[in-house]
Amino acid sequence: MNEVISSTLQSPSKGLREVWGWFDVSQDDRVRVSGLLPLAEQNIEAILEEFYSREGGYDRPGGDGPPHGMQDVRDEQRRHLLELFEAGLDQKSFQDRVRAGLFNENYGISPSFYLGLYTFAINRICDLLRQEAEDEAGALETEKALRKAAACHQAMTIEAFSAARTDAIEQRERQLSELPTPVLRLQAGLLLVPVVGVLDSHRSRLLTMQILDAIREQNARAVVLDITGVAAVDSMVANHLIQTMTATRLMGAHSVLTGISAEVAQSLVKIGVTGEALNPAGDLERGVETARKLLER
Amino acid sequence: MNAPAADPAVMLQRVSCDSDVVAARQLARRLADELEFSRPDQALIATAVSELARNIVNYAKEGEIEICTARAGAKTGIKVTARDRGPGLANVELALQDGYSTGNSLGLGLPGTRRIVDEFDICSDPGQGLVVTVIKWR
Repeated sequence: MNEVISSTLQSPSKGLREVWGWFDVSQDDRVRVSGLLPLAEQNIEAILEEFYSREGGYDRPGGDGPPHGMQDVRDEQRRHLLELFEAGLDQKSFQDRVRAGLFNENYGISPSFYLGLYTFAINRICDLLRQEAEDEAGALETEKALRKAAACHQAMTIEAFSAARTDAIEQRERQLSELPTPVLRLQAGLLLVPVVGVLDSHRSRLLTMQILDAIREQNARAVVLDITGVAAVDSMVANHLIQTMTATRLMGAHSVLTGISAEVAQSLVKIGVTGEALNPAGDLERGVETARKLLER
Repeated sequence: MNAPAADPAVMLQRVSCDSDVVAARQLARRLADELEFSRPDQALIATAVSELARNIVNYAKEGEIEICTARAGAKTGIKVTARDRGPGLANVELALQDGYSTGNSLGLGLPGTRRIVDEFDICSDPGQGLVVTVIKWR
């Protein structure tokens, strides 16, 4: 264990050193905290047992805490608490903290419960520290160091947890943006594409590909692109639409744009997007009518 | 710009991806609604914010959009500041011309935004980033 500590003391990353600074965790503090490892290892099981056997109903189903006696939860919590003394808040334990954060999420352990248990454990260790100390002033310094380091450890765990959550949200967003847009066949040679949601670069590339594939497969000669369901149209979205429609034209099909709201129309004019490139046809009904006429030509 | 006093409530949106653009846009729209801008004006403000945020994503990768209420005398408006530490603009005049783009865009973002808003201030040091401040009065 000592090797790990010495190596991390030598090369903390710049970001990490900054975090220690915020919590006023000095090198000396870290040495003091890692010196508590034997004490922590010896007592952690008893501390957890005390925490769980107190009154307070931690085993309520649907409560804040994990079901009583769930051994893997306690194992994880023991491991996480000991990490404070073992790894000394280094970058290496970052993955562990993400794991702890996700673990809490998966088992429905709320941040308050996590912090409550953590604080309880630190308080108990401080009690033990005071009992065993021969040098009172030194014990006080160590206690201060422990509290600072613990706060830092908790903060980093919660941050790692929130980063993992943000990742999950971003992944969900990507999945949403990849929702396929249906390309509907209205009649022979005539396709209808209702676009709904946010039209970003990624999605508009997908959309263009889908439309071009459908044109080739169904031998279509006209496409009605309806953007009633597109909430935001700015110059980039307009650009995507123009490119999609130009590509359609190159495939030998005419395209008609419908569903431009009064607000969108006004905004587009102000920005400077002209109508011609978009071949707009008002509402869907008129768009389909226009497209049919194009077919007859 | 005659430095109108801003309300203390400032909304900040970090911008680094497409969904942040949407979020900034929605923030602006909500404030515009609260300030009782007309519906078409709300759409214009949202579009302006969209263009500014889009520029950040496209050219600077990341930055921020700050939205607040602007007041000057009896006038109330919405003030939007787009800030980034990207490459900045080598030629501001050129960038404000319709159809000029170093990317593959319509080149309407900045000039379009300028047409939408009442006050438009752009400050760029090449290599230091770009700050665009706009105000639309009600």
